Amino acid sequence: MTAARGLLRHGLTVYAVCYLSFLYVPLFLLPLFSFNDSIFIAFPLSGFTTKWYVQMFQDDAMHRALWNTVKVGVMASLVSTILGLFAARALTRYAMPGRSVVLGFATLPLFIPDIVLGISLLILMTSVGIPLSLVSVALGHVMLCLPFAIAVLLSRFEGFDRSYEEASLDLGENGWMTFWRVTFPLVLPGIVSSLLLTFIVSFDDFLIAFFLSGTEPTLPVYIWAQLRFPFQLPGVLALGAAILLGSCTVVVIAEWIRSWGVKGETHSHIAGI
Amino acid sequence: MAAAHGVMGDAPVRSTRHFLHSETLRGYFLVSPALAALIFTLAAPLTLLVLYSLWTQNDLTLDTNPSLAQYERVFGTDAYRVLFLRSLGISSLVTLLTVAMAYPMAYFVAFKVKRAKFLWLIALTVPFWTSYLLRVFAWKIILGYNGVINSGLISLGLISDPFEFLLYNPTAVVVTLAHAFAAFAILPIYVSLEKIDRSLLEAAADLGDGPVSRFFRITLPLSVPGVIGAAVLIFVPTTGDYVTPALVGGTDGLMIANMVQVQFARVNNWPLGAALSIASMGAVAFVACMTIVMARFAVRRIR
Amino acid sequence: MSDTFIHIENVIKRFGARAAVNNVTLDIGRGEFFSLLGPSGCGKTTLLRMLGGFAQPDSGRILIDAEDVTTLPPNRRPTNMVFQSYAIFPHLTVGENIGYGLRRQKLETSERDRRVDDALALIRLDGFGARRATELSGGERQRVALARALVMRPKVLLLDEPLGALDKRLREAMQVELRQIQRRLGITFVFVTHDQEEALSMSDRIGVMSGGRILQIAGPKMLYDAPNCREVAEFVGTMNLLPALVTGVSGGNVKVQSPVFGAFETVTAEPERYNAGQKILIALRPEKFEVVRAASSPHAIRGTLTAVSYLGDRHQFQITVENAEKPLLAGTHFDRSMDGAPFRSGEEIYVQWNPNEVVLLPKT
Repeated sequence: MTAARGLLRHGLTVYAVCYLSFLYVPLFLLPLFSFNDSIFIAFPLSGFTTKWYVQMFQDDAMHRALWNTVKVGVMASLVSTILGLFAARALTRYAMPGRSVVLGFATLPLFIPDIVLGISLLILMTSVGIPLSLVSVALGHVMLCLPFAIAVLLSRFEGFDRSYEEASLDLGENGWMTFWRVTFPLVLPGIVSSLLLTFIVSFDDFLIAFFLSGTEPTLPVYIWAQLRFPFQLPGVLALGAAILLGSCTVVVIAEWIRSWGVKGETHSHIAGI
Repeated sequence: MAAAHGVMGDAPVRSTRHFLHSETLRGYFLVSPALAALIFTLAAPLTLLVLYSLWTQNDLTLDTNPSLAQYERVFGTDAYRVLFLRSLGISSLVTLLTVAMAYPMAYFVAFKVKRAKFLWLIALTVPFWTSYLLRVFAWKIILGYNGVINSGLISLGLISDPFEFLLYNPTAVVVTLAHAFAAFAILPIYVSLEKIDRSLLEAAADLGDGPVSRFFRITLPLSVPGVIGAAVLIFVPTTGDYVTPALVGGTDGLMIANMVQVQFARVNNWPLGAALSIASMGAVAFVACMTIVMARFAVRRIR
Repeated sequence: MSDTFIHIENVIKRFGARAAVNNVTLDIGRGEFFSLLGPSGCGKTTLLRMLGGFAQPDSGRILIDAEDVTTLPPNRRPTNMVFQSYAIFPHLTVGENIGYGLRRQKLETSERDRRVDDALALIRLDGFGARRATELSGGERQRVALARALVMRPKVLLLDEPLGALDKRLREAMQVELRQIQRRLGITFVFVTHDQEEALSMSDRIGVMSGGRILQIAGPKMLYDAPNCREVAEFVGTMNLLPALVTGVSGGNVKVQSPVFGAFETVTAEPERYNAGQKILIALRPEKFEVVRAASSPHAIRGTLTAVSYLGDRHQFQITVENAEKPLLAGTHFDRSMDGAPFRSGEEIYVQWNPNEVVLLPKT
C-alpha cells in the first residue's frame, strides 16, 4: 500500500513538472529565437545577435502602436478599477436583492467569445456614431476588464471585517475619514493589483482592438499585421519576448501585492479569479 | 410623560428615513456606474447584434424589415453547417483534453504541495496573463513546416523531410487551444479540490476505504462543480475563437469565428455575420447546458 | 442602582419579520457593570449595537446621561466599543491603533503620546506602541482593543463578548482585570456575554435575555438564588426542576404538594403570584441537596445513586427517585459520607433538602 502511494506521489510530481514544461516551453521559444542570427525560425541556431532588438527599437510604427496601447491600457484600467471598486464594495457591504444577477452580468464578458464582443461593439460604435479610435477601444476594454477588476476587489473586500469601519466610527471618525484612514489603506493592495491586472488584460487584447481601433493600431493589432510578412517575424519575436517578460513581471508583482495582509489565504485569493 | 408621545410621533418619520438610507438603495447606487458601463458596452451592443441579425443586407443598402432570412441562410447552407460542427467538435475535444490534463495538476497542487502552493499557483497562472496572440504565434513557429519541431528533428538526424501534418489542420488548433486555456481549467478544479474538508477523507479511510476508492467516492464527486466550471469556461470561448484557427488552422481548421470576421470585414454583410454569431452562441449554450445536465445525472447515478 | 445613566425605553428592532429586540425597557446606573446574558440569537448583541449607534431602533428611544442618542451615529455618541473580533486595524501599529480616535480631537502631539502611553500602561503593555498590530497574541489584541476604547474616555464602554476568543485561563485573568479597571475608572460598562459564569462573577447586575425580551434583571446572587422563570433557572447554572401543585397560600407562605418532594410549606417574596390549585414548578440547585446514607431530616427523598461524576472541585451525583421523570442532580464537595466510606454507583441513599431553599416558578 505504501509503495503504491509512493509511486502515486512521485508519478504526480513528474506529471506536474511535465505539465509546467508544456506551459512554458512554447513561451521560452520566443526569447530563444529572438537572439538567433537568422531570418528563419528554425534549428539549428545560427549564432547570437541583438540586431532584431535594435531593429525593433528603431521602428517608429511600433513605437506609436506601443504608445497607443499604453494610453488605452491606462484609461481602461483606471476606469474599470474605479467602477469595480464601487461595485465590489456594494456587493460585499450591502444586502442587495439581485446581487447574483449583478455579479452574473459583470462576469458575462468572460463567457462571450471575443469576436462577438468585438463585432457587437463595432455595431454599437457605428450606430451611435462614435468614430473608431483609441477611445472606442478603451470603452470596449473597460467592459473586458471589469470582470477581472470586480473579481480581484471582491476577494479583497470579502476578507474585510466590517467591524474595522465600525470601530473607526465608534472612535469618532465620520464616514469619509473612515474610508480614507481605514477602508482605503486596507483595500489598497487589491486596488493596485486590479490596476496592474486590468492593464495587462487591456494590453494583451487583440480582437476588440482589431475591430475598434480604426487607423490607430494597438500593439497586438500591429503585431498581427506584421505576422503576414515572413521577413518581419524575427522582429516580432524580439517584441514578443519583451512583451512576455514585461507582462510576466507585472503579473507576478500584482499577485504578490494582492497577497499582502491576507496571510495563510493567499492561494485561495489567486484562485478566486 | 413626553416619552410616550415621542415614540408614537417618531415612528413614521423614522421609517421614511430608513427607506431613504436603506442599505439596498445605497448598494444599488454604488453598483450603478458599473452597471451603466456594462449596459452601454455589453447589453446595448448585444441587443444591436440581435437586431442586425434580423435585418438584411442588399448590396449597399440595409433592409431593416425584421425577418429570419439570415437564420435560414445560416442553418440552410452546408458550408456554415460544417463550420458549426467543426467548431463544436474542436472545442469539445479541447475541453475534454484540457480538463483531463489539468485535473492531476490541480490535484497535485491541492493535495500534494505543502509549502510552496502560492508559487505553484502563480507559475500555473502567469502564462494565462501573457499575450494570447503571442502564445498562438509560438505554436505557429513550433508546428510550422520549417518550424521548431521539424527543424529540430532534421538537425538531430531523426527525419530527412519535414512533417507536413503538424500545422494548418484541426489538430494544430486543438493543441494550441489546449495550451492557451490551461489556466481556465486548473483554477476552478483547484478551488473545488482545496475546499474539500480533509476530515472527510480521514472519515472514509476510517470506514475502510483505500486511497483509490477514497478518490472515486469522495474526492472526485466533490470536485464535480469545479470540473463543470472549468469545462464551461473553456468550451464557451473556444467555440468562438478567432486567432488560433486563423494562425494555425489552415483551410481545414477554420472555425465559425473566422466566417463571422469575413462577413464583417471583407464581404460587409453584417446581418449575416450577426446571425452567425448569435447562432453559434445559441449552439454553445445548448451544448453546454445539455452536458451539465447529463453530467449531474451521471454523478447522481455513480453515488 | 443609584441614578439612571442609560435609559432604554420600549426599544424594538426588527430584521425582516423577526423582532431581534422586542420592546425592551431597561435602566442602567452610573458606574455600573451591567451584563446582558443570553443564548446566541437572543438579541443581546443587537441591543448593544443600538447603544453604540451601529443599529437604530425601529421604535423606542435610548438616553445616555439624559441626552437622547437614539438617532445619533456612532461617531457622535459618548460610547466606545470593544468589538468581538477586536477590530484592531491591521495596517497600523499598536500605538496608532490606540491613538486612532485621539487624532480627531486636535490634541497636542505630546498630550496624545502621553495618553497613549498611559493607556498602554493601564493594560500593562508598556513599550508595545511601535509593534505592528498583526504581531499581537489574542490576549494582547483584546487588551489593545480595550485601551483604544478607554483612551477616548467614554461615558459608557460597550463590550461585545470580548473574552469569547480567549482560552479559559486567560479569560479568567481578564475577568478580574476588566473588573478592576472598571472600578478604578468608574466608567459604566455594558457587557454582552453568553457565558453565565462570566456574567455572575463580574457584574453588578445582569439582564437575562431570550427571544428579544428581557426575562429578569437582578444582581448575580439574586439571579442565581431566585430566578423568576423557568428559562432563567435553566440558563443560569444547573437546576433541578420538578412539577408541583399549590395547595394553599397564607401570608408569605405557600403550601405545595409535589410527587417527589411530598407536601411542604415555603416562603416566597411574591405570594400574589400563586393561588391554591395552581400548577407550578419547584426548583432546587444541586448543591442545596445533601446526600446521606441515613436520613436525619423529615425532608429526605430515598433514591438510587446511578452515576457519580468528578468535576474537579466537586462531585456530581445522579440520583434516580420515584415519580420523577429525570434523575435528580446533587452536587457535593466530598464523594463520601460522614462515616468515611465513598458513595458507590447503585447504592441506595437519601437526599435531604431545606424547604426554604426551594424556588417556586409559575408554569408557563
